[in-house]
Amino acid sequence: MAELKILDLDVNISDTKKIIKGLNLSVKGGELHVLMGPNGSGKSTLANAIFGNPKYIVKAGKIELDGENLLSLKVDERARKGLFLAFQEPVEVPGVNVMNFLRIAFGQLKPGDPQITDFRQTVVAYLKRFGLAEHFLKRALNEGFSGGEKKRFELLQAILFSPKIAVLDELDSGLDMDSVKTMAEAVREQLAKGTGILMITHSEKMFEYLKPDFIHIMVDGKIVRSGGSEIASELHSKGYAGLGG
Amino acid sequence: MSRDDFLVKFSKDKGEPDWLLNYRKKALSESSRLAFEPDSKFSKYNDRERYLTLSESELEIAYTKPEENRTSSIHSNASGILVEEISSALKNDKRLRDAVEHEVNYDSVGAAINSSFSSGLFIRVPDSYSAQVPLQISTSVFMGLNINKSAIIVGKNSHVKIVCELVSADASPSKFMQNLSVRIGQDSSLQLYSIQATNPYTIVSVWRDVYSEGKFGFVSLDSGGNSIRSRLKLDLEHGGAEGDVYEAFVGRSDMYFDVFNKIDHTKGNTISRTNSRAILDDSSKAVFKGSVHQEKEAIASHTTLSEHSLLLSSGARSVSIPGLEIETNEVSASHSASSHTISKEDKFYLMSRGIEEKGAANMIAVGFLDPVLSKFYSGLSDYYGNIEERLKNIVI
Amino acid sequence: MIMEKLAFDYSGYNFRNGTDYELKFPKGLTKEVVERISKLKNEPDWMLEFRLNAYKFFLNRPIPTWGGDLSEIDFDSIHYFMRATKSMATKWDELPADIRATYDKLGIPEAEKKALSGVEVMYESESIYSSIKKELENIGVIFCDTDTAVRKYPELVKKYIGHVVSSNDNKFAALNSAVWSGGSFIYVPKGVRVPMPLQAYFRINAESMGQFERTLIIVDEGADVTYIEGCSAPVYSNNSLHAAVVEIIAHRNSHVKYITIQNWSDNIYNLVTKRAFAHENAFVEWVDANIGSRLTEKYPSVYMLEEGAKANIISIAFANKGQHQDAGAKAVHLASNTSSTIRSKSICVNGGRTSYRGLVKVIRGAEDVKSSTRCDALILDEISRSDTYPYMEVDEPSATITHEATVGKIGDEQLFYMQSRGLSEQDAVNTIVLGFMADFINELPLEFAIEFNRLIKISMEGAVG
Repeated sequence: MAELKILDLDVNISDTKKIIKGLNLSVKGGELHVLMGPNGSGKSTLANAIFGNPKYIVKAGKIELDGENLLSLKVDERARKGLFLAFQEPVEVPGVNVMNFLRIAFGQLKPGDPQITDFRQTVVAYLKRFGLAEHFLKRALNEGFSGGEKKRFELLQAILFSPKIAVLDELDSGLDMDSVKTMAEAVREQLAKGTGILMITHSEKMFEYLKPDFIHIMVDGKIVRSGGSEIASELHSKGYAGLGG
Repeated sequence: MSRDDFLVKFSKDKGEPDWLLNYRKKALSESSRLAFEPDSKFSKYNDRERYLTLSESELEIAYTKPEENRTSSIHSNASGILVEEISSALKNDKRLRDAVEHEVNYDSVGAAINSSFSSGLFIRVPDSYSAQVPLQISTSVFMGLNINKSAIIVGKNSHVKIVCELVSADASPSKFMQNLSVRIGQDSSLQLYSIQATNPYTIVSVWRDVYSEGKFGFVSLDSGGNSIRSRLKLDLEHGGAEGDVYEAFVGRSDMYFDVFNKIDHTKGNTISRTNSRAILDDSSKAVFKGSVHQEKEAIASHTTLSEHSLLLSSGARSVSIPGLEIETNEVSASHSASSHTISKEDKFYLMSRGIEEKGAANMIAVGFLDPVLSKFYSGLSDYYGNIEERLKNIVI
Repeated sequence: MIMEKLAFDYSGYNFRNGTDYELKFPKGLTKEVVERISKLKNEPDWMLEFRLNAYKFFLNRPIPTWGGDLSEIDFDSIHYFMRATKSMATKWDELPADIRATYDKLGIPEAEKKALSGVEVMYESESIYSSIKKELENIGVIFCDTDTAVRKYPELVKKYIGHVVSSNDNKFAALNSAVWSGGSFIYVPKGVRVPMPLQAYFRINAESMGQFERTLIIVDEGADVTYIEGCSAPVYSNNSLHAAVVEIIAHRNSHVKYITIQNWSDNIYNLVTKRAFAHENAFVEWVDANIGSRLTEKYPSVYMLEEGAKANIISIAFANKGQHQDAGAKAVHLASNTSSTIRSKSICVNGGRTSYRGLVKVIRGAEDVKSSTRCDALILDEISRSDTYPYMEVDEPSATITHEATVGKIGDEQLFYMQSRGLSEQDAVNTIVLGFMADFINELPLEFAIEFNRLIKISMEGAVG
């Protein structure tokens, strides 16, 4: 069973500005963790820092996947170890064809996987499932995609690459009800396959479709409260402030 | 007597120190050596060179009849800021002398001005000075030659706004040639507003050489004169230095604008934004020459350069050359340029709301200049209630 | 179609040893050299006169100073005529090591390596080339080298040569007009659509890949043709000065697309004048990639002479260490209702320098003209340089002309995204760079696109980090 362990993590955005302070978190394969908190609490920073986005500086602490220290690894090496990040605002990369991109990434992340023999068919099936037209394959990566389409495409990748641990950064925000349902189904499916999921959200809508194993509340760079799904109703009545924020 | 002799007499009669005479002599010789437009990228665009230069005979007049070559400037009360005539400042102010002696003559006309000026203002803003109201300077242009050299030196950590207006004293033909050098110290900001509304028989040539370690903002509206040449050289020499250049040109009859903006990012963390816009009617013409340079050390510097022309009638013409030279990759640079006319759909829409055709065209034209005009409003409306009205009247 | 399978398969060709041709003129250019060239080719008087006139212009014109650095060209030390074989390496070992290495990495077959480097000379294969020739003849298309055209189709050549690019246009056009040799001549009759892209390789003979190629393409009313020259693999020549001229006349309603991939070895000055005249409703496309040479100065132009004419110019430049690509485009609108699009992408790395130089001109009376230019430049490190010098001259208010350019490096967010999908930094950069050039690559026939992709990856190796 895969396990992502974050220990006493301090992350800065510049030499002096600290965003994450002494954070501890552990996500095991097959578990659904939901991370919530007010805007500016550092949730996205955490997601990016796990992947080694050079914009953020890890000042202290450890990030381990299955006991292996990730901090010394480059971004792509971490991805190849089985981590996946669904971005909140996926960047556009002009001229890079979607199909080609998926093929190359799959080749890196899942070398030797049997799916590769009819890769195109698999991808087309996923496109359909996530409500994206087949002509998306010919377009340039994320270029001209609507906000919803970008998020659904990130979700498609999460399922296609079937990672050990997936971090989903606000994937549900701005999606319509049907898309949220589809997303929940996909998340459940992936959990059953053994993927550990850290879902960052600030909407409670998700709880109608998914029952998380753990809910963590992040305020001002720290996790102030962790617990089971009972936290959801507490949050609903007391808000972040009432939960130790 | 030769021209050189005239120059010596001219300088001596003004009681100028030797260093200043030598400076003028050097400038005179460079004016014959240098080209009108030395940048090879632009050298083919030299219409009206004849009008925009100082000829031999004009130089002679400048030296021999200095009383006929003068500009007259009046300025508002500027408590804390030193404002004095350039001639006395050159004699007394060491910093000014240093700045002037280090000048490099770039082209023939700039050099000619430096050899023959006989009026101008020196403005010195001390360190840590924050102006409450803008300093207003109104300069009148008289018949004949008006050769002017002025300078603005802003110390460290100071903030000041200066509004310069250039107007004609009467309806006679005149030639206004000015070299303005500006130095802005660290952490300071200078917002310079310029409104040029001279008569249609005037030739205006202004060189602005700016060395900035702080923030330089320049907003101008040129709607007068017949042949107008504007050259801005901006050196951003210190981390944090910024340059914002917003220029609006209103061309009528056969007006001609030669606008050269040269911006050098020599240090990192510098930003420049240039937005030059011209409305051209009748048979007027604008030539925009842009040259932005980001040197190797200018890491994390950003620049945008834009040149846009709105052509209103069949004789109007526009040339844009927004050049970029970038020598390092840790920067961002973009530029855009366009030339078009008032779209029929825009006019139709306004007219369908009851606005008559000329009014619609005016609204659209003013709207086109809005990115520049709004800088005037935001910077000066606190002090001049009707600035918006005034500027719109100038434009229409 | 036969064509697609033929590219890069030279097994059917005959090869001869390069040293057979001993002909090589002494260095320097004089009137006598020009006369000798004409005599050697058995040219009619009018062509000799054309050359001599041009020679006079060459002497009078100064070397241009506005572009790259041409100061090291020594006109007196250049051989102005030799058979192509002599201009190339005569022994495999003579080829610079990096070119040999690139051939290996590109997986170029032995035969082709030797052809590209001139160690051996290829001749038109009886079987392969003649079947192409037959097909073309059946539809009335003329496709041969320019020398042959002067002899076989003098009326056509005389009618058009020097009309689009006059011998006095610039110093290097004058030089070319005086000493030209080789190049392609294409005539497509009214209404004929040439079904496959015509490639320079198909008429390779002793004079090809020469220094002073002169190409003339005449496309009659309603006709359509695509022409490709060059290839991604580096081509070695020990002549340091290449000055080619390409003239295209696109008659009413015709369509011409001219694709060039230039990858000369890095000792070469590549100064080319390429211009097309587009008549009523004609559509001319220049697709131009500059990867090699020490200095390239090339600005493919379209002069839209009559209503409805259109121009599309795509230019890619890649400058590595010691290279300066000074390229661009010119769109000259001389008639109403004409339109042009210019797209330029450039990449510089390891101290290379790319410059975009472009002109969009609209004359008074050319109404309702639309033109848009988009230039993007990537600078991959802190020692390289990128310049953009666009010129817009608009004398007609109804014209809508826009120009946009951006310069910068590869976005950190883009790199991060690609790496987060398992691509190494090098792969991420390669993918982004190829994506940057996608507009151009999409215009190439498939086998060229594949080769080009491979070449860019090789050129990018070690260029990162």
